[in-house]
Amino acid sequence: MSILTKRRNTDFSRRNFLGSLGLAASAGPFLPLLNASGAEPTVGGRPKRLLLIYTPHGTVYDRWKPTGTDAAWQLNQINAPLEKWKSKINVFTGVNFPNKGVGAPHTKGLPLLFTGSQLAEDMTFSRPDGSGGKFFGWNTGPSLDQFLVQRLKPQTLYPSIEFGVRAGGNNNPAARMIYTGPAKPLVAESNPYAIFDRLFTKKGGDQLRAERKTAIDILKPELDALKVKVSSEDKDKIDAHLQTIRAIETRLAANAAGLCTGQTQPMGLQGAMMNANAIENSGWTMDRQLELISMAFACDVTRFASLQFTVGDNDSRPYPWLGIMEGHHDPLTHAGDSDMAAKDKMTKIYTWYHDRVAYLLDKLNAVPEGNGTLLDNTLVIWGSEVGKGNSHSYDNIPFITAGGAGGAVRTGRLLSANKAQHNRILVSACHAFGATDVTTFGNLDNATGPLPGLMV
Amino acid sequence: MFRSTQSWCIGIFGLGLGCSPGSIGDESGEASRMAGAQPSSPTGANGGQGLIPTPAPGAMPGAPNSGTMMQPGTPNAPGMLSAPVPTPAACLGKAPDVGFAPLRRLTRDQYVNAARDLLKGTTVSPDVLSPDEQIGPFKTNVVGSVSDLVSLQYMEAAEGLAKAAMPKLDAIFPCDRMTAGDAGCADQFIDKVGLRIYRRPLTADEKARYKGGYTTHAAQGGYANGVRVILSVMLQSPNFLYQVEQGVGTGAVVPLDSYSVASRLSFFLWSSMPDDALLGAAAGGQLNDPKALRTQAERMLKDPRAKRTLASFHEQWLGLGALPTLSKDLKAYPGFTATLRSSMAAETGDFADAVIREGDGRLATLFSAATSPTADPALRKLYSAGAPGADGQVALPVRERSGLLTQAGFLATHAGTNQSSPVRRGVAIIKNVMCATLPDPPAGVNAVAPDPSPTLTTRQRFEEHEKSPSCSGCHKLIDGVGLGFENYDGMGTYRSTENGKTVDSRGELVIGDAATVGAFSDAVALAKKLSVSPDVATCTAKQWMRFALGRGETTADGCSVQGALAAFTGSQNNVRDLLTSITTTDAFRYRRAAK
Repeated sequence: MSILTKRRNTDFSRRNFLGSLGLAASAGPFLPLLNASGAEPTVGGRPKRLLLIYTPHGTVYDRWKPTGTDAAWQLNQINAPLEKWKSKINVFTGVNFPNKGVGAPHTKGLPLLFTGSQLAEDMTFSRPDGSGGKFFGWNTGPSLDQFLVQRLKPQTLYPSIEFGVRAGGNNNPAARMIYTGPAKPLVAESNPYAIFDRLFTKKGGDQLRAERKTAIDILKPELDALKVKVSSEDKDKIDAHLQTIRAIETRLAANAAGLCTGQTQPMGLQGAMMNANAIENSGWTMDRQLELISMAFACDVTRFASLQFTVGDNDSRPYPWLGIMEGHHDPLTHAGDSDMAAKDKMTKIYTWYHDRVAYLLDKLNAVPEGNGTLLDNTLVIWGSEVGKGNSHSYDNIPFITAGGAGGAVRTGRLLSANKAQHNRILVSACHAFGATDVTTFGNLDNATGPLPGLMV
Repeated sequence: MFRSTQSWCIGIFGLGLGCSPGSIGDESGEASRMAGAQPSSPTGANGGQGLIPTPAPGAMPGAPNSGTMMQPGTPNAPGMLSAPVPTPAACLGKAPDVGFAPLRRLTRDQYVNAARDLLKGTTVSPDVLSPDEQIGPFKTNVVGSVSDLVSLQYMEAAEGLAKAAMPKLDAIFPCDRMTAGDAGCADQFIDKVGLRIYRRPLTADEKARYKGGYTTHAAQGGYANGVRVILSVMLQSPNFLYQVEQGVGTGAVVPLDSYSVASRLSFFLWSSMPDDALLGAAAGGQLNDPKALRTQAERMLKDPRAKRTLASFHEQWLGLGALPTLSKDLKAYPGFTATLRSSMAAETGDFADAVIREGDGRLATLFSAATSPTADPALRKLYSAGAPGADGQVALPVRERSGLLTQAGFLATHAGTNQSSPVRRGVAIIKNVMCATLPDPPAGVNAVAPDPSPTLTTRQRFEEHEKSPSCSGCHKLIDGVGLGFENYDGMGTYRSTENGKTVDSRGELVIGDAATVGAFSDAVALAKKLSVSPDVATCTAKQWMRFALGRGETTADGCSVQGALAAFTGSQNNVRDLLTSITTTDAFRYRRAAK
């Protein structure tokens, strides 16, 4: 399906949109699911949403950086697919990462992207004999989305949803982008079928709910008993496990009310079952995840989401759906700058990322909300873990935002950060969500305040 | 910072795989590969400064850091061998001691195997669960806590398993309902299946809760429905998912109770839950006696289930986790098919099992045997080997192959997509097989890998390392080992020429004991040296210990390491003796109440 399909979205009603997604429009998805607290800013009666996107290994900067100035600028070869959304996006040049702390560039870069914080200097990921080295652990801060979730306490079915495409990797910082706090990573779900089932179907109906209620009634006292039994160091783990069971219980009760549940899968998930984790299906999986993100936002199942495309370290997998059989990270991004064949192939990969983000913006903008669209009420922040793959540069990290965060953020801009750290963008996002008392974000922040020129 | 100099250390960033016992295979190799420190340069980011920037007023998230995590450490030196093992004299007559063992959640493999053993073959794909944590090269879930998603995955997996098991219910749990009645059979189910899943008898409260759950759902769908629901709940119980361990008595260091020992034994030697015989021994309190423990361990090593552990250990130790999904540039290696990859992965586990369980069990054999158990003609062709003999073993060319390190799986995993990789191979051997340290590459290096050249050999292309003073320190060590493997291309095929030039496969080990250190002619010669190296034997014993305990050893475990190592060396490095001895160490049998 081409993302270049021209379609007038203005007369595309929410009801039709949801119908096309297979959702029962009468199911009442527009009402806050539970009693919404007043903490979260809303625009035109609709909440603001935040989406954090990661794609690996930076970009080919000279083919990505727009030309011209803020007053008059043109997209470059790689971001050309965003042309139709130029008025609703911002492109940031000269954004740098703080290059501090332990861990290798890809490894620390992925969690750094949205936490602005460094990895812990502990022994979590180390040789275990304690022979005197300095090693690294998990990231030491919450990511932007989780910080805002904890601040705003959205009363939605899911406080946040972590979407991924082959984002499992191993359980270490190079594969974990989102953190609820220091050393508390969340794993992304890379299976769109599982997400659809959990979010939008009454899977198994009343019988399954009754069985899960039985399970929860047994598991809770078992976990309570275990807390007493295990050593004090392990109580936190059992406590965290108990919290997850309580969260499942809460959602079970909410789901029973039948809000925002449909019986039909979106078109892309119908038909023969696909292996969502297969490399050759990654393009397909990406599109399904993008569709599910827009559904989840449209239905107000969640207001905070993230999408992690593969892992921060060594996406040395081919892109067969683009006809590229070499691994992206190795050998392609490790080729020298003068290797034009490698550069052209990387350009194709990076251009595809932009093409898919354009598809996402199509989806978000197709949902009318008040006088605008879902896209207008959303803030999408998209970045990478390095500036470029071969030198592992922490300068010129490609950043793009989309959507106006309900009128809080100006769009259509080409903004130079003048080598400011990306923490400025994270602080700007806090302000866009009403957290205007935040002046720094992350323990590697080296300045204060939002990025000049971004906020309305 | 990374572009500030022109030094050029080929292929460390992003290319090198598995720098460690910290080696984390597949996609995330770098995380642990870079497990070393911030570079020691005084101009480095941390030079002379505290590591934590003072949070600005108004700083919200992530600041300040937990101070305990941020102690500046000492940058590790290249080639430092791991901590020394105490002498036998120092351990003689010492009171039992043990390092703190954090609560372990089952690994995906353990979960899948346990389900299979309990449900007579019914299990799920490990992919339905989130990936495991690793400490060193070994999978063990001891650090993080479960997220909502992981809990939900457990719930869904358990529901699926219980449903899939129902057609086999009579085989899994035979019960004469005519005699015992449905409620009586349900009671027995809770007792017997509960014992297997919890690895201990259930408490009265636990039984009552399950009986309540059974009654509710049997009322709606009969006996099978009630049993299905409670089986599903048992399989998502924390008492199944975690290795909950209990000590006997009070004090800082206490013996584990018999049931806790039974679980440790089975998850170590079988990567699965205990069987009825082991639970019976636990019920009789027999597992508190080292002699009885040894008898159980010997019995379990003879059981085919032990192969799971042998395969799993060697896959993790040698950093082969990525092999089943490894991609190569098919222009360079058109024969690198999915089938061949699986055969390579299977070969290492089958070989380890054949040597350790069926063969002489010796470490030297693991590093020197020129045989392969493979049944795949494509892999035999890669080795230029003939048909298997009567014992199923294939004889390999003795001048080209010598045990684990010259197997195609190791060579292909630790290689580039279109070339060999002296760096990856060197790093894997130095860190995983010799347990020596390697620091991070210096900041400011350009990690551009030199492209394959139509005229140069890999050795010629990698000579840059030797020229650059900032690289040569480590790379003398790394490349000295890795270039010894230049007789094998990026998928492990033997070659004596590269681009028309004769391959120079000489290397030098600049670290290690007297038997190990020094020049060697090729990888086969290196493997023979390593096969009798005391350092490699010590490293092997430590790695098995870490695998068994699911954690790194501490100084409190020193005498346990000493005991296991003494048994190992005393048996001519027989791995069977190492494994049974590990089960009788303090580290395996005792528990420290708190950190």
